[in-house]
Amino acid sequence: MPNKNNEIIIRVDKVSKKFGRQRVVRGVSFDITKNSITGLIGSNGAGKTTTLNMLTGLLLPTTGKIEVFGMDIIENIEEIRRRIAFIPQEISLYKNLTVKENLNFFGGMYIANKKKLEKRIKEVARLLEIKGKTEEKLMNLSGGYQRRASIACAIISNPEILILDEPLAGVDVRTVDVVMNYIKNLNDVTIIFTSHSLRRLEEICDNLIFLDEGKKVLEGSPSDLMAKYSKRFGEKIVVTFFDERTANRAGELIDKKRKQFPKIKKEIDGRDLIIQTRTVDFGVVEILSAFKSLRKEIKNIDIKKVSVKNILNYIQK
Amino acid sequence: MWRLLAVIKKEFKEVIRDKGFMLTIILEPLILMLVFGYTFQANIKNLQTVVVAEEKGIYAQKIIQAVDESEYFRIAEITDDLGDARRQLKYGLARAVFYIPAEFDQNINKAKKAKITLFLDSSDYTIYNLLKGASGEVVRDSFRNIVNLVVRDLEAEKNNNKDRVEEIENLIKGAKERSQKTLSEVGDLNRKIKEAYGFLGDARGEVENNEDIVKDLQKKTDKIVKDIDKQIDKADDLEDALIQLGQVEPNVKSAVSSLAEEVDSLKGKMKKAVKEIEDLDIDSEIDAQKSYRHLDELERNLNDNELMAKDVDLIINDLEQDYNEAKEKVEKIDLQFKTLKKEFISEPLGLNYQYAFGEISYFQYLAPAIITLILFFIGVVLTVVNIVEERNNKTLFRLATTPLKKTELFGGKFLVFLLVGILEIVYVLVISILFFDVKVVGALWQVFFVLILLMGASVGLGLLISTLVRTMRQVSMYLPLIIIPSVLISQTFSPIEVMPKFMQWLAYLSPMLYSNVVLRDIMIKGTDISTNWVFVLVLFIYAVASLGFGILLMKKRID
Repeated sequence: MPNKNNEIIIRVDKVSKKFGRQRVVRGVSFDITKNSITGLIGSNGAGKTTTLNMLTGLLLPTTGKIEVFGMDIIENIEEIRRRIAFIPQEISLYKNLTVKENLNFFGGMYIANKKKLEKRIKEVARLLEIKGKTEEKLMNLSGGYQRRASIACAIISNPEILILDEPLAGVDVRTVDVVMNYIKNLNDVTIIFTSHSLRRLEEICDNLIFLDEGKKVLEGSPSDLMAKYSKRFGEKIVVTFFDERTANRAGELIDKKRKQFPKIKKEIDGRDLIIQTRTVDFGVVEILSAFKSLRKEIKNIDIKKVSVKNILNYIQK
Repeated sequence: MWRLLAVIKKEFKEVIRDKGFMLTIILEPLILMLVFGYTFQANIKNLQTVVVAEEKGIYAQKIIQAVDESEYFRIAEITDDLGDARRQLKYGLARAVFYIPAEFDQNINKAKKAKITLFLDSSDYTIYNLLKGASGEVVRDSFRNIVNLVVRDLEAEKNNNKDRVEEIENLIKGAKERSQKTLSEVGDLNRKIKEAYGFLGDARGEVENNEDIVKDLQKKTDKIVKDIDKQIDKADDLEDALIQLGQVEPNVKSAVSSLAEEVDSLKGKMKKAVKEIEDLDIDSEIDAQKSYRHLDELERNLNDNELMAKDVDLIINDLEQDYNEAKEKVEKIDLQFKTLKKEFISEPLGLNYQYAFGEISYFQYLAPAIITLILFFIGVVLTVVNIVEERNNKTLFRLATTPLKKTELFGGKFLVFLLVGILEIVYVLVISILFFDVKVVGALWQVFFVLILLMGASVGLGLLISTLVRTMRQVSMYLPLIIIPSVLISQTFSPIEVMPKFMQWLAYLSPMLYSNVVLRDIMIKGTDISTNWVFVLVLFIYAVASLGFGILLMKKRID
């Protein structure tokens, strides 16, 4: 992970946002440390985008306070804007212009020197793997390239904070890879992005913040969360046999050793034996050793560790 | 079938739930009917009118009265300075000038076609066409009144003349009778005079005779008087003798005294005789003189009578002449009457129209407004569509997160739209002048200048509108609702006067109004831009202010 320290770069303090009577964000607080990657997770309508909009000064909080770079966001918005970049959910580029023209335009907001800008454009084009597409009009590009161009236009300013709204929504696997790699490899940039899915978040995020109905319901690093919740959820082992009979026999074997594993739950679904452990007290190997004798009958073993999704589902329940 | 029903149900729900659409379908007919109604059911009233009356006779007064009573005209001034009135027309201070020339009443009196000239502000096609109609009506009405008046007067005069002719005829008849009578009288007199001449001759003989006799008689009477005197002397002597005798002889005394008495009476008698004779003489003379005088008088009478006869002839001649004249006059009046009926009454209207700025075609009138409209439309739509598109593409939103300032963003946009507008202005002007024969009487650079200001104001207004409009759907719904009424209330098709007051005030919100007024003045009237400096200034302020407010209202935030 890139250089990390504990300097807090964004502080969100009891922020609420109301649209009319609708309370979209309710008393959310969190801190973001410098150069960390934060995922803002929640289902649609959880208040993620509204929170981001407040972080970029597009929306004013109804109550609460936001500090970026230690400055109040309302008072120092111009200064803050120079140092952060925001990539909206939509492509939001000029579709009639080429990628390069878009880059020139958005880059021109920050970089006055033409040569520097030119250099920087080449750089971001390489980073986001759109080098071959810079002369194409945006509207002629696929969604994935458009997304990459959109990100390129934001990072052209070398922002200290990069805020991405749903960067992975609706794009192809290759683009997800490119974006993920890019994010992962960014040094000296604080990144915040939202996602409604948990796809591959665990691998890049330093911190996850779960929002639900405008409230922060959970926060922590993926490993911390995992550690905390795997105790509660345990693991799920799905052993698939070649036939149902063997599956049943395996079930019986488990039952015989009940004393050994008092807290596991067992379920047979066709050829699948599903074992749900409650704690991490029992390793997978120990459980599996219970039906060692059947090992030639085993077609597949799938171990499902506790996931953020499980946690989220649990919390939402 | 059930699928169709499903579609109908869904569409219906969608329509009902779209508040903007519902508002539009309720407001749009109302606003458009109102604006269209007032614009095209032009009801021009009380237009500023100047009456130039070089003639202030009764007929001229009738015209002024009719103009005054017409709801179309409001007489601002009655003057006799045509030049000043036309100047007012030129500068748009008056819409119409009625010119009643000096010989107006006289011409009517002569049953000549009396002419009025109506100078019209032809720069406003609608007004001048409506005024043409209205003035025609007004003048026709007043002419009708005048003609009635004239005919009544003429009829009265005709009747009057007829009476006079009759009178003269009677006079002539009387005079003829009298002259005949006089002539016969003169004849009588002449006869009498001739008789008198006869008598006169006799009388002269007689008088001469009488003179001889008188002379004889005088001689005799003289002799007698002498004798009588002698006798009287003898009687005196006798008396004296008697007195002496009486003294001598008293006896004789009484006899003598009686004798003396006798002598005395004799004496008296003689004296009386002498007197009588003398008297007789005098009377004869007086008689002769009387006769002479009478004779002279007769002669004079005769002459007088002859003169009188001549005079009577003269009078009769005069009367005959009068009579002829009167008759001629009556005939002439009859003739006038006929011509009057033919020309004057059937078409008494001598209304000339003079167009202050030439006879403008409707297209020529519309051209400045069309150019204005095109540029206004482009300015507003270009701006609104551009900004709403940016908003829809979320680029505006994205730009809001960059250090780009609102003034930079909208200033940049403004300048580009203005540039596009300027190119468009050149293009529109070239097309309209080259291919549509649109004339620019005034200076072309001034037209260009005004259009640039208009473009600025239109872009500014577009900016203001785009702060209110969020989606393209709203653009397509609200823009016509803004643009169509703006076009209509801005004097594009008809003057501002035709609209109710509140709409006139609303019109001042439209930049097109200023452009239309100033451009028409330059293009049709050929007035210099400086004449309308207020409107030009307003247009400039409009552009600057709308841009300023637009930027101010444009939010860098999204709530």
